[in-house]
Amino acid sequence: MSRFKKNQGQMVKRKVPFKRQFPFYVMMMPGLFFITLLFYLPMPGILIAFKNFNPIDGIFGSEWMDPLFKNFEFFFKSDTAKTITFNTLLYNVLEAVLVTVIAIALSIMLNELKGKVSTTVYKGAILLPTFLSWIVIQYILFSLLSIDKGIFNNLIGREVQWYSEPFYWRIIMPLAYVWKNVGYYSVLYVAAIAGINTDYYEAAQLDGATKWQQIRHITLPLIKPTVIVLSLLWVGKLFSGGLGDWNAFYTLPNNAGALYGATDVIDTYVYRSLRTLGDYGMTAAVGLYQSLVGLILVFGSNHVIKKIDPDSALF
Amino acid sequence: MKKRWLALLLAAAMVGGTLTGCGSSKESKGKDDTVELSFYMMNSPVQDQDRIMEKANEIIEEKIGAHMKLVNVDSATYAEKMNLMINSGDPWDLCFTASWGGINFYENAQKGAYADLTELLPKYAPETYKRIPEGLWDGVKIDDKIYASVNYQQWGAASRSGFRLRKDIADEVGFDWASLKGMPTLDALKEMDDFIGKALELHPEMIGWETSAIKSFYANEPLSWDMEEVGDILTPGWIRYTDPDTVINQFETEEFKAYCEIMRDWYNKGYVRKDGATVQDTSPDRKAAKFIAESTTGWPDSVDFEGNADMERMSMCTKETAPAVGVSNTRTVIKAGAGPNAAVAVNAQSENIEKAVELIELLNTDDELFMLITQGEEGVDHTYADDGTYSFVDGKYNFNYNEWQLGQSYSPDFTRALYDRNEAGDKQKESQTMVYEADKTAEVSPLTGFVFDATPVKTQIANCSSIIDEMVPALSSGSVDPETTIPEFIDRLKTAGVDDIIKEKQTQLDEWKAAK
Repeated sequence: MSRFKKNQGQMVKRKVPFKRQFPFYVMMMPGLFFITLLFYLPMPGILIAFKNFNPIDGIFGSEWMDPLFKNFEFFFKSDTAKTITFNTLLYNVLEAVLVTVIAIALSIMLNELKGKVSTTVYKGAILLPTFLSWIVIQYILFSLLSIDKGIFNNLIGREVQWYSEPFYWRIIMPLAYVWKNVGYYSVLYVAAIAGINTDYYEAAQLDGATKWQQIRHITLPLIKPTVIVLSLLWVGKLFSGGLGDWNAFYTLPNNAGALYGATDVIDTYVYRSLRTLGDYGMTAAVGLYQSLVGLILVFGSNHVIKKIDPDSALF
Repeated sequence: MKKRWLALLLAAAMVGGTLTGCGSSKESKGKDDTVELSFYMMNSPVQDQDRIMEKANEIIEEKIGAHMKLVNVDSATYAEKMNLMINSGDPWDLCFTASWGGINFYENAQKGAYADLTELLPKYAPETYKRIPEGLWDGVKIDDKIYASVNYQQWGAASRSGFRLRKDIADEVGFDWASLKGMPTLDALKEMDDFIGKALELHPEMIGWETSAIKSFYANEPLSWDMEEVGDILTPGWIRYTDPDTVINQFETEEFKAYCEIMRDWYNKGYVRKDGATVQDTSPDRKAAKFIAESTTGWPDSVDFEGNADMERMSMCTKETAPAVGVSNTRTVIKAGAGPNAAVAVNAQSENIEKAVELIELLNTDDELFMLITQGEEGVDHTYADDGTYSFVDGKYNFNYNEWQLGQSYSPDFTRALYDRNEAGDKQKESQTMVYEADKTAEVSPLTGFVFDATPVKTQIANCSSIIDEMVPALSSGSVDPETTIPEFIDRLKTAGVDDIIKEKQTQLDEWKAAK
């Protein structure tokens, strides 16, 4: 976390001779290598979005679409484009905010716990769902909500049709996401809080600050950079379902057509409509559109942050 | 100091080098000079496959001087994996192909992924070519070129649909099931209404009729409604057999409306599952013998021929747990899709296309080889009991009944499948003889040989298919009111461009007819 502390001192810009930076370049090499291999080399694949792609002719050999943007038509012409864009944004904002708030709250509480055994037990319990795959969660959910054998329906003694009423899923989807991911992010925040110099708290205690005041004036301001970095990374995925992990939206509703209105995000819609068609061009077009919007959002929000609080900006 | 950095750099470069090196190793050729041909098919893991394949390869090597490497891919991922291999240019020689389940025979053939077998088949696989009815070859042709070898099966190529219902309960209630024979599907459903009602009164724990999210008795069963799909079954655009020149939107018909209304009625009366719109897997219900009636495609039915074992039990049950009778009510047609229902394609990029066709011929004509691979060895993998019934030995080689993917199980002398060596086996042979005969006299679909090119309306198809996915399961299981939902459904389809698809299908069909 040392890099977040930099903003406490003044950054001095001066020329550093290459010789002294050389070790850092060597350390960067493996990372750079993989980024180049996995992200930059496949870049020409973007062309597929504008082509009538035929794998035998290859990316460069395939014919251009006529008109060039024909592959994009599919998404913008669909009658559900509005609904799924709304769903995607709604769930992403909801999930990002909920996860951040709850994870910070949890990590502060965990930090205050003194018993060694209890802390470990709590941390483990919170973190466990992170390691379950969505498929497993799908089955857990099904055993809870199944109409005739579901645990919920048997508890309340009524036959609630969970899988045909879209409204319930407006709550179930974010809830499931938070349940699965909050543990992971609270670990990040626990680490960020642990990095705060304990001198601050001692000084505050001497001055008679309450726990609440310590949290408000010391903990929260000092983990703000972590929150901003994570949020900026999320902003880039705002147009991808489930902040990039859209598995939940595909698996949890059990493919129930009645729920699509409430559970479909851009990715699930694209996957379902194009899976049997096997059309690479249209799929690539939607992917390109999502990434472009993401890129613009990242630059935009970074720009805004730079204006308000230059030290917290990502770049 | 400098030297140490240099060493580090070198090490990093080497790591990179080994990593990139991994991807480039190609699949190695078989031992010596014999060609190794890979054959991809859908199958669960098979016990003892090495033992059988070793024996099989002895035969194959002796006959055509090649080796076969049979690769089993799980059925859930087969379509995706095969399409991926085709699209990325991975090496393979032969594969099972079909026009259903996302395997995309037509699309891959149009793309040029499959080798053109028009001239190779008569030359290297004459027996195979001769044995199959001409109509089936038309089914795997695109622009007059054959792109796959049809696997002609023991149960024939013609389709006929109907119903299967519980015999014991029909007797109990006193239902004259034989009266359903030849009756239009709508009337038959109405006829069954009363029967299911009475049956459920006596057996309240049972389910009247099977509904699920994955199969709609209307959208997946055009034959039952005297219609046939033009191109992919789930895209809009079917024809009626009574008016084969006009492409219609199958969801805008009186039949669809009437069917949904019946299902709504049954839903309200409790004949079908309340969660039918979302149930993905009905096999637990089937295995528990819960259904009173179901649709079926098998025949000859119980009216035409007594003793067809498949008609005497409900799906996934035995004759003891769920005795049944079957009755078919549609015409007998060799559908346009019958050719690519099960076929074998050769990779256009393969280095050994001729050898691959020779292998197709060998699999289709060498009964010993075919029986070895599909049924294992007699006395080891399957045995005959004293009364002549055969059974597979537990824990031994078992091909999971997937012989239909490998080649033809059709054989006029019944030498390419296992039959009980007793009366039941004779019955089965007798019933199959009826099937073969019917194949020769069955109507051939007016669409045979027509291939729909979806490219001009891809956008519309993608958007429609998503709407169909969403609405059809709910409508066909009765969980929504058709009065309001069908107009909404049709409206949404129209916005998504369903009329463009119908028009395109009509234009292509007209052009094809004119060219013929």
